[in-house]
This record gives sequence, C-alpha cells and structure tokens, in this order.
Amino acid sequence: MRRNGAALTEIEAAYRLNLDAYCSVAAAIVGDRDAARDVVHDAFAAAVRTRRAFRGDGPLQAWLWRTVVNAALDRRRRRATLPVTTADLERTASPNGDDPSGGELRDALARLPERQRLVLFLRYYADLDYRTIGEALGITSGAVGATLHAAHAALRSTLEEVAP
Amino acid sequence: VNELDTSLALQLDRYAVVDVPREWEDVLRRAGVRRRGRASLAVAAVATGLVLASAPALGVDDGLRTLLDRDRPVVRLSAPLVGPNGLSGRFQLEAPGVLVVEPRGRRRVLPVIPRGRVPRGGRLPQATFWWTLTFRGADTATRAVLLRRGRVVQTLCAPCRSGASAELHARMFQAVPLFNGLTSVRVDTSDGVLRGRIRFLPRR
Repeated sequence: MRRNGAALTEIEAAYRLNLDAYCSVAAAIVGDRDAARDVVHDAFAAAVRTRRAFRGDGPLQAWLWRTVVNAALDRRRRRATLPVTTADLERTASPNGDDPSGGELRDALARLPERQRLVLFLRYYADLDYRTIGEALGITSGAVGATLHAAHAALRSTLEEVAP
Repeated sequence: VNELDTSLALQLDRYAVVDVPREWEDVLRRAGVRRRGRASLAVAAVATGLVLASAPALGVDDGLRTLLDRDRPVVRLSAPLVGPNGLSGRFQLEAPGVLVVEPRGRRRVLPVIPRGRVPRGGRLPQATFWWTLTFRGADTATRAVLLRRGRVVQTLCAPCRSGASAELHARMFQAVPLFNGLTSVRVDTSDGVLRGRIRFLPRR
C-alpha cells in the first residue's frame, strides 16, 4: 500500500533502535569509525527532510538503509579513498580485537568488490533479510543471494589458501 | 552456520561500532527541524482545552465533535427535480471528505474541507463530490447543468442518461452556495426541462 511520507516518530524509533548497526556499516564503507556517526547523522537529517517523499513501496527500514549507504558512499567518494584498504579497515577495527586469523580475512574483505562488501555488511551488521538488503541497494533478492554466495566463496578461498 | 560464517561474524564483530550515544536532537538540528518546547506544547494544550470548553456557548460543538471524530459521516445534498408532462427526478451529491458546521441560531451552514496544508502554489483545497442524476419520463437529457443566480456554473453531463454519475470538484467558496440552497440543477430533455434546488440534508 502506498503512503504519503514517513512519520518523524518512525524515523526516530529506527535511529534509536539501530544506530550501532548504521554506524558499523557506515564505518565499514567509509573506512573511518570516527566519521561514521557524522555520516549517519547526516543521512538521518536528509531522511527527516525528505520523509514526505517516502511512498511506502518498500519497508521504511530499507529506505533508511539506502539513505545511510548512499551517504556513506558519497562521503567515501569525497575523500577519494576508492577501495577500502587494509589500513582503512585497521583504523575501523576495534582496538581490543585480536584474532590470529583476522589479518587474512580482513585483507580478503578489503579486496571484495564493493557490492559484495555492502551485502556482507548489511547481512552481518544489520541482520537484514535478502528482500530488505535488495531494496536498500536497488537489486533483487536473487541478486543479493548470489552476491552473498560469491562473497562467501571468495573469502572461503582466501582462508583455504592461507590454511596450513 | 559453517566455519566461515562463524569466523566472518567474529571478524566483522571486531569492526562493529557499539554504544554510540543517541543524539536525535543533533539529527533534527542538521535537518533544520525545530521541536516545540514543553512550554509551547503546554500553551497549545491549554488553548485547545479553552476552545473545547467554550464550544457549546459558540454553538459549534457538534461541528467540532465531527471534526474530531475519525468515522466521519458522508455529507449528502439532494435536489428533487420536477418538470412538465410527469417528468420527475432527483439529483444527489455525496461528499465523504467534507465536514459541515451548523452554528446554532444561524441559517447558513459552513462546509469545512479538512486538509493538513495548502498545496504548493497557494491554491485552496478542493472538496470532491460524487453526484448522481436520475429521472423518469424521458429517455435521455441533452444536458444537465448547475445554476447559480440563473447562470450556468458547471455542466454536469451532455448528453445524459438517467443514472449518470461522476465526480465534481469544488473549492470552499464554490461549496458554500451548494450547502445553502443557492445552487440549482437544470436538466434539459426533449420532453421538457426538469428543475430543482440543491439542499443540504442534515444528519439527524
């Protein structure tokens, strides 16, 4: 059913409930956890301004995720740090993280094509289903499944290569 | 969950950003939205209370109650049509989106078109009416029109069959005469002319 805009309270509720996930995805895209909150706040400000344009063709959650992902991609483009590098992910990583197998996986993540990385982040950080991921990224549910499968295959291959 | 999923989830968990302070006011400030302060909300609540309390004295309590009622009744208007040689008929109007305020002791009623805001361009909100025309004694009519002070203000149909119906859009200033008996219907047929004055049918 089509709607005439999203309510401010709905957007606020989504912000309060999922801010950590939004910031995690934004940090992974931008490559800088310090900038993530700023990106998410800019994205939500844009969502608040344009909330009347939301027509309810898909879930509000997908619309908000698309806004956050686009804001993060814009910020990264402006920074001209095209692919996320290992150094970016190091900077993104939690200071307490200490996993001996983490280095290879981190490198493999950095080498993934952008769409595969985005699908992975939305799947693992935001715990979104295929349909919502598809609507957030403007692709079909089938494409989400295939992209996720390809990302897993690439990462599995990397892990097998480095295994003793 | 396979080994890769577990390993990947663990690795991604290391990058997760957690316990970010929620600062919704900052989002609103960036969006240029100003929230009403508690003081202004309290003033608005008191003002609303005063209006509701004094509504019966003003004679508009029924109208206000209707405004606040979610199940708004359909407003109906009707014009019995009479003509020569046994010609008769009826013109009916229904307006589901219009509310009517009937101040006590006043002869005129006031239609209200409830809309949240005036659309861009400053045009006044429109009310949508659904009209139906039925008549007996003639097969078809050459045309049916709305008249005000003897002048045609709207052509309803040409030619028309009995049972014809369509939408009619009217702005506030056009709707007021409809509700106050200042608009009539004329139906031209080959056997004569049917006429009738449109009256608002109050809900009793």
